[in-house]
Amino acid sequence: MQKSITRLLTIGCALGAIGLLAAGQARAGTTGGMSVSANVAGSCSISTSPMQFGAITPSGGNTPGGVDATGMVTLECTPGTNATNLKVVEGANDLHSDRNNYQFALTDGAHYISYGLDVYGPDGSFHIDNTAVPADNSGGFNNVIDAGPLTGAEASGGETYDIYGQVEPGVPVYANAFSDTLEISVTY
Amino acid sequence: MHRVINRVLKFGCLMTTIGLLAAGQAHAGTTGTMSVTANVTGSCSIVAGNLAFGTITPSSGASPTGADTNATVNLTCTPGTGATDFEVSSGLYDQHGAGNYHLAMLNPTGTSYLPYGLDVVDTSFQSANSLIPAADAGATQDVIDATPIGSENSGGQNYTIYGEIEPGATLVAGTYSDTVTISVLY
Repeated sequence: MQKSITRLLTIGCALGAIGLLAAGQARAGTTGGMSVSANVAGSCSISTSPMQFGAITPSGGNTPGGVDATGMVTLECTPGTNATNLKVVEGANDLHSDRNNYQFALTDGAHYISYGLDVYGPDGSFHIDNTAVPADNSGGFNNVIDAGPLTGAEASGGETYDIYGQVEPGVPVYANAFSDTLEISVTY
Repeated sequence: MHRVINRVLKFGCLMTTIGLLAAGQAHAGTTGTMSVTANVTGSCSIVAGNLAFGTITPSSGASPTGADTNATVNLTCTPGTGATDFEVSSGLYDQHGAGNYHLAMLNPTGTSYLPYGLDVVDTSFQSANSLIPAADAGATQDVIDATPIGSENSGGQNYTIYGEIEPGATLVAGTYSDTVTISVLY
């Protein structure tokens, strides 16, 4: 009886060995999954057309009323980017503006002319309540053009926004060529 | 051992989740710039008072010496205009003056001229005998100020223009007048 038991154990071991060999020849099998992944990084591009006030003819030595100009911002994003907060971050001479609803300034290097912005959306509606610069300037330099979601920017050709600028009227001016650079950003 | 591996895998999954959350919160963005430009066009305005000699009483039938008057001319320019050559360009009857008095007034009937001269003074009064600046002798352009820098100050700059009737001219009673053009280049 004890011997039989031994044989059985031997056979068991042999079968175990065969099993291992069979596995090495891979007729029968097991399935497994291979993970394949990629992340498409969304991105946006901002292109602009310049805001040109053109020739300003002083009235009584001061800037006249109604001097305005339109610049355009085109935002184009990879579909699925989910961009938000397209905004005018700041101008290059903001510290020299009059800060009375005109927080931007043009300069010739020595003199400054304050101006404000109005931003309209593609549908013609104001995105910033009548003045791109918050009335109390509480918004600091965050002049939101469109808070988003900017789904229109993900369409072919992107989305274009008009930005209206208006020179502060009634302030003394200096005859020269003036300029400023606005920084525009989008978050995604 | 099996249990240990499970824990490692779970930890790996957790890290992946954190990574995705981090990506979602990232403030990636793009910036662009817009140029803004304007050209302020300088200009000047000239406001001139009237040069009124008033009543002239002949002396022995001729114009007396010392019949003079003056008027104020204000030139105001946009700062930065860089105006030059503020001057008396001409009168209506310049060719009818005499000598160094090349300006003249005319009576209403168009029959008689009354020569007069001008002197322009800004900071220093010129000789009464050189109503027309010596340098402009014979010319019809009398420079008031070649570089009217003060015109760019608030309120501009005032100039006094003196007029003097040519003495000794034969007079015909009547009212005489002329119009002098004052110009500035910028």
